[in-house]
Amino acid sequence: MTEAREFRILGSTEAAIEVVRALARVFDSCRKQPINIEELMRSAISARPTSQAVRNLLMLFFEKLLEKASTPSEITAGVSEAVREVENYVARARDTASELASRRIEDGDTIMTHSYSTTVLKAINKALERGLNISVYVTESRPGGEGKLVASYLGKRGVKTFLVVDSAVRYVMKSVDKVLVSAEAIAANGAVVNKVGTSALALAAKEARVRVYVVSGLYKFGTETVFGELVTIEEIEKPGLVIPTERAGELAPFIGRNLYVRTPLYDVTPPEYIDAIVTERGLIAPQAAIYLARELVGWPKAHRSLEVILAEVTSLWR
Amino acid sequence: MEVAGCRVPDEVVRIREDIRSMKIRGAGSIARNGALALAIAAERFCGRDLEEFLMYMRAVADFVRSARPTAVSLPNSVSYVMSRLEKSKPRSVEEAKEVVTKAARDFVSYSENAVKVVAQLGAKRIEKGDTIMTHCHSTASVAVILEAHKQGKVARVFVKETRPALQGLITARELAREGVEVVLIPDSAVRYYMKRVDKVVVGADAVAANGAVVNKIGTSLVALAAKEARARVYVASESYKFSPYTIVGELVPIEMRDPTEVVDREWLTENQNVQVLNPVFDVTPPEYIDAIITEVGVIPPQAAILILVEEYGVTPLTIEHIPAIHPDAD
Repeated sequence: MTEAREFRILGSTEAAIEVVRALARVFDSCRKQPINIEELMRSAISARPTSQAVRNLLMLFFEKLLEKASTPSEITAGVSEAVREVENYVARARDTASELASRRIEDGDTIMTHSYSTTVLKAINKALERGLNISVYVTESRPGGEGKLVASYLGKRGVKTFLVVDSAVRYVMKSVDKVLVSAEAIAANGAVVNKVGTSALALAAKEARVRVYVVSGLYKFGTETVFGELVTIEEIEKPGLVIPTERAGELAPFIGRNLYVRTPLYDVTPPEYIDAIVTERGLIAPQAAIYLARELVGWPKAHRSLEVILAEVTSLWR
Repeated sequence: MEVAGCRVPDEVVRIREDIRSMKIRGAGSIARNGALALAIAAERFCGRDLEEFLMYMRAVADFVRSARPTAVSLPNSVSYVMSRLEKSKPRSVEEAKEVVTKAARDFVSYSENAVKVVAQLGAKRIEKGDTIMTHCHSTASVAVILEAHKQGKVARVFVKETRPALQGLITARELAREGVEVVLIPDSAVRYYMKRVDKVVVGADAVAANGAVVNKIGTSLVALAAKEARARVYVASESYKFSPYTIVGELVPIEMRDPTEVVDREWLTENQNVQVLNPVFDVTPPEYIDAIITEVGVIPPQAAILILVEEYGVTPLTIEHIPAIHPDAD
């Protein structure tokens, strides 16, 4: 979970699956004594609070678990099966979404992407498999700098790849045909929460009349946002994320006094800057994401929140 | 070198060489030394014929100007002096020499004073409680912010790191040292924080004739995000950064610097298929700029031509004195 929080696991889906697996391991190791599921869940979700994948996949995990089990022993017995089902669902969703997204890529296109997303890389790969000749601009994606990994991957894959600093986004946008990014969460209004810098990229794309596609499984849909919840965005105060060690000295006397180093991990791209969200159930206007996600949300009929599901699981032990 | 039977003084040749070899650096210093060189050349003119003096001075002006073909401030300081000479219609060599030395002296004190005036004018644009955002490091914009801070107007300044060279750290230190509340942020967070910002203050490397501002890479993205959030954008720039070349249709060349400023050599070796693009500047269109704060006054960017014509005598009459299109320009 620490890894999910500190971005040692890059993609939000990978992080979410790791969280589900970690939870499953806890269930497994606690076959005999009752465990505090609520406590565990709280820490699991707080591992990456912005991530809707963590929340939704945990929800899915419990739903699958409850489908087949009604006693504590049945629950623990069904854990690995439930994990497998979650993994299969995610794999299928990503495969379909990236397939649909790749259809939007045309021969000769110049793509731009930000941060690291397996789903986006999958879409690019599928386009390459179709024999398309494309080039890709990759932003450094500070803090974290995971853009370097993306550039490295694409370069080794033989794609014509350009790496630029985050500041150069508007400078190079004129040469870009399409922007392809992923999501950490999709809000009820179609706004997309993703790695910080995404919204500036989308804004520059809009200005240059470049199309912006968000490729994302519906499991990133912010279920709670339908009920008015805001998506949490953390601002981290960790000078090391911005100031390199060798230059820490020159600013050290002021830090915490009148100099603060602040880093939001995500930002929100408004739906009007997004041409389409590409999900496993189709390519849609961002504002219509709620239409496709309504089964996941259970809305407008009955909403079973994660808390309700949890209460049900917990009650089995009582 | 000899013109009209008179040798160009060694000191002038040395100044030109120091500008060329970048021993003399920074827009202000280059401009002041250029003007100084003209004054020295005028004082040491050996002839008595006025026509010969004018010919001699024009040749020296071209010689000095050619030291750094892309520098913006140098042709401006030279034109500043020369346009005053051409317009003054002197009746004797003595009178002409006096015009040149006075113009050069004026330019030097003008330039030394310019940043102070920019700071004063710029600070007037800041209101009490304003949150400011700035990018890169610029002497003029730091001066504006510090003056406004001294007047108790600045609540907080968001300073962008400004990759790849991280000049934002210099700005952060210079502001923090004077007691300004500074929040240092990564470049990618520009749009995230913009909704908390009232005014953007940035510097300029060059201002084109149409009012477009050439500045450190990322400036145009800051301006775009500011426009979207309806935050005001001010460019603090001494008037000798206005580019006379652009008036003859030349594009401002954007230098691409070494990839190792972005990634290390090891990474480059490992990833030879990746091209690391490292443009130093970008161009902010005039419509994203609310005003350019110069020592002559606060002007709308579209009025840049006013500065070029009024202050530096750049008119069609002197166009033949502007060197041919720079070979590196794209």
